[in-house]
Amino acid sequence: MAPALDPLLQHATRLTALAFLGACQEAEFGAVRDHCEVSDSVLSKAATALEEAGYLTVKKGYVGKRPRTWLAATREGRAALTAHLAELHRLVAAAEAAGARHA
Amino acid sequence: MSDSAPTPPLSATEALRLADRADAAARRPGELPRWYGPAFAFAFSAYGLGIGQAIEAGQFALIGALAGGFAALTGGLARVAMRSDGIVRRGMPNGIGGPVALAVLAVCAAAAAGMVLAWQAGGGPSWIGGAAGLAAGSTFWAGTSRLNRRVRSLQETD
Repeated sequence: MAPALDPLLQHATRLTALAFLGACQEAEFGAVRDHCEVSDSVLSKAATALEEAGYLTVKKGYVGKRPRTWLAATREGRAALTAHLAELHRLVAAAEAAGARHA
Repeated sequence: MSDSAPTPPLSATEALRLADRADAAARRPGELPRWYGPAFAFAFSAYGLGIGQAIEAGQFALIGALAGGFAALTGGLARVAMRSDGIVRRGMPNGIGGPVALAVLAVCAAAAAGMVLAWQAGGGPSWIGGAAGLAAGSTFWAGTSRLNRRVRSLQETD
């Protein structure tokens, strides 16, 4: 059976956040939020959903008196992202092949 | 990109574009903080001077302790610097490996040159150690400035 798309990653913020975290060891909440161009609460909801699925870990700490939250993709998260992207590539390639046949 | 409001499903090409963009952004090299070069220059100078003083005083047991202190201090500084822009990268970003290798070679060469110069000038171990540390530190500082310029140019070409 062909691998299906991961429903959790069919959402722009969750996909972008996991792709960002998959390419680094870990990132501060603010850096991910700025890249995703969303509000704190939107990224927070996305991060919670990904954390509940076991795709990322959330680590809270302080730098002086400032609270800092660090996010990191887990091995399961990286594997899910890789499988999801592979399936997307397969879909795009299939669509292009079908388009070429009809052209 | 709301997580609560219903959003239209992403097309496969759009999803791949978002993922590629996020991947590239997380891999993009970041500048070293301004304090990094001067702090390392100070650490190198103090370490070189300390080693020289320990040798001159015949306190060879101190050399190991100084090396441990230097490694702990510079390791801590590097750890703080790595996290300064909020992204802890995996491995060496593209286009940075060459300049970093050159900077390391330049620091070693500068330390050796400093030692030889101080020795030829008739300096004792503390002078030789201090000269090596100062030369290594200032070369490291110059190297970090060069590296930051390189990072800025890479960011501009993205």
